[in-house]
Amino acid sequence: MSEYPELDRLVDGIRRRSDDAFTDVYTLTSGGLASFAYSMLRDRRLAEDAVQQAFLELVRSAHTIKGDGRSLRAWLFKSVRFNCLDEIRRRSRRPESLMAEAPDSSVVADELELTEIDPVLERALAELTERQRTLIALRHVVGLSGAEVATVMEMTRPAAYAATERAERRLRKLIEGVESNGSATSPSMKKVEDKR
Amino acid sequence: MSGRNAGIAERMQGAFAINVSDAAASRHQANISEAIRSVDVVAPSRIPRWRMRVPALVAATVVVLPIGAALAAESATPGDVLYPVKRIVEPAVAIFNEDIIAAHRVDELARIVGDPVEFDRIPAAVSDARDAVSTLPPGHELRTEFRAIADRVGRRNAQDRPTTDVPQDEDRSPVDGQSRPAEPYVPPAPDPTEDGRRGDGDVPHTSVPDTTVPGTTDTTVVRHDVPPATSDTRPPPVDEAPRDEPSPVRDHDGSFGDTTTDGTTRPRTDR
Repeated sequence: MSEYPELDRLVDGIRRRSDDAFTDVYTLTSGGLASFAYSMLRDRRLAEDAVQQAFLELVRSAHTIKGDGRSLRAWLFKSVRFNCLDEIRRRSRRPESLMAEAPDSSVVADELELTEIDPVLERALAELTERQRTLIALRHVVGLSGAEVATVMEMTRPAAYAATERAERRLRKLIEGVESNGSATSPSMKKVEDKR
Repeated sequence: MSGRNAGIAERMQGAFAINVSDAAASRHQANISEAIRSVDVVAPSRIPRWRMRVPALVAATVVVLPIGAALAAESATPGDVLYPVKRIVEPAVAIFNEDIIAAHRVDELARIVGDPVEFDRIPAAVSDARDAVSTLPPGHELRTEFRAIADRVGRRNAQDRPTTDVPQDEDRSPVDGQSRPAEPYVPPAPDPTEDGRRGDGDVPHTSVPDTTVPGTTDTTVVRHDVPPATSDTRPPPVDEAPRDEPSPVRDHDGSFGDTTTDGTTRPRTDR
């Protein structure tokens, strides 16, 4: 029995591809999954698509799911992470011409009700690596334990703890720097400021 | 969550914590239900994965092992572990190459003759090779090669005969030097198809060296395939024998015979 007793009870139903079990698991986990995806993609619609994609993959791989509710939760987060990384890669490959034809971001923001992100946090996060941002999101947005973070990131537990600790320390320092200086100090920070 | 990270958690959750909208959630759940219905429900196999690979492994073994053994046996000589495999495979190969069997026998004989350790296998190898080349047409190069090897064996046999310090009516065992009754020595007959003296195409009988049972003190000398003497054949002169080759006959201590003043080798007689 794991720290997620409700999920523990649903794992067997997931393996049997029970419709009710999938509905219940979606209800229990979709919020955390969507928040995690949103932290990586900064796009609510794409974040929701990543969550749906993870559940569709779970339908296909249901019979391979092993362990308890904790394992199922880690499986879903891992799947969402890979979907987000795929999307980030797709974005980076997209030609500039297509980017130019994209609708105005303010219009999109209105349509999708994008949350306005704390500018200090946004500038500090821009300084972190993709991996560090993911570790921070898993730990502080979703609230996964160190062991769960290790599973999702496919790292050993000590390595996950150490990497998360380093990312937190760096983020704290960056936030303090931005708050005290009030201006960007590195090229990536300037880029964030220019966009604003 | 430690106190120093509380600020980070608060900021991160404030920025990124969202919920899937009701519309999106309904759409997702409908799509998931549709996927559950449409997915091919294949019962997971209860056979362990390693057991599913067994037939493939067996099939690969059945195919690969015989081919590998046949290839490895290509250079086997009589007495080798793989030599029976070579003999089994030969008839199949001979369908495509009629001379292959004779070529193998002559090649084996050449290699055995060149290796003093294989001394005791020479008679059987000569016999096999003679049988094999007898199926070839007169003048075939394998016949010539066989005759050359047979001559060489015959000369070596002549070299190993006792010389001046051994009584003429006795032969001494190369193993222990004990006397035994002498036997008439008959040299190898030349290939009549090559020198024109006989044209019947028969492969001549060839004298092969005397052998003893290795590892024993049995002094019995076995003479193989000694054909009756003919008037036109004579043993080749001892002086014509190649002097750089050691005698294949060994003493108990593993050494070859004594070298006489004229350069020939004879068995030791000082024991």
